[in-house]
Amino acid sequence: MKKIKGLIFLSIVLLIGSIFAAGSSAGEVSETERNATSNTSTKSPVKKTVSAEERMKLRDECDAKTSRVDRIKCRLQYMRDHKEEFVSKDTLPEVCRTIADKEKCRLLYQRSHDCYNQRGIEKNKCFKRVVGFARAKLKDENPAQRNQLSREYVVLLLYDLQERLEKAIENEKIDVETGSEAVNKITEIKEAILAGKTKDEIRPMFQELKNILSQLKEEMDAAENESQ
Amino acid sequence: MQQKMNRNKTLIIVAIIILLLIVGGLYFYMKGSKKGERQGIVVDTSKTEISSAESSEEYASLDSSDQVITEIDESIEYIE
Repeated sequence: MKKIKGLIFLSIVLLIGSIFAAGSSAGEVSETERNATSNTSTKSPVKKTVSAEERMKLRDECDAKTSRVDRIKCRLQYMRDHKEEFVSKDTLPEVCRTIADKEKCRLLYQRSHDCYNQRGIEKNKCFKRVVGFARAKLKDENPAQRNQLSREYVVLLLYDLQERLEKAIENEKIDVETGSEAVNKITEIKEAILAGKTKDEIRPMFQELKNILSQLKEEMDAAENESQ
Repeated sequence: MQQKMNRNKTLIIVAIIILLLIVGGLYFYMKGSKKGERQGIVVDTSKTEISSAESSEEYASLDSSDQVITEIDESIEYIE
């Protein structure tokens, strides 16, 4: 009798166990599993192994450089060497350093942060939402607000180009020298836009940027696709 | 007498097991059907997404650097 009871108990445990196992493995992949899979499937170039403290020291050294070109080059070299985003103690983006309204500039970057994780039309919608568009196209916006909206929108688009360049440098598709020339030009244009320079002053700068980027576009897009 | 009591106990245990299995089966059956319903909602949501994308076809896609450059080019025109 005891044997029968034991068998019955064992079979209940096994049944319940198997039901739960079947229920919990319905082809769902947990966030951590997904991350683990994506991490292993993405081939990344060799990363330098340096302690967190040493990396922080390196970042501080980059931020302490006096010229903007040197700071940009140093940061890009850091990204390439350590295969990670450059997060400095100074929360002020490079372009906001010389702007009169630093806080407004910093907030624009902060609010747009999540847009850069999106793609295609969604990314565009996100930028326009952050800037405060009421319509899909600039031409349909209130003429009184069009100037300010276009300035902030172009700044976010330029930052998108910068992000693509940084990814390409990190993935060793573009060398630091060429990349820093382009990033420096982007920063210059953003500064000019936020400082209130006119379209006629900004156009030639953008043309120069297009000339620099003409050779790098394919590498930028390849790096962007790899990182997705 | 003792045998009859033992048999009754066994019957009660068997009945409890069957009851548990029925309840368990029903629970997972309901859970499965709810999951099915949720999947149905997902399909519906995707249809909504398509229709909302159709209404916002004026938005430019920013998938490649070329598209971003074109969008910058067009937007600079509105800077005064």
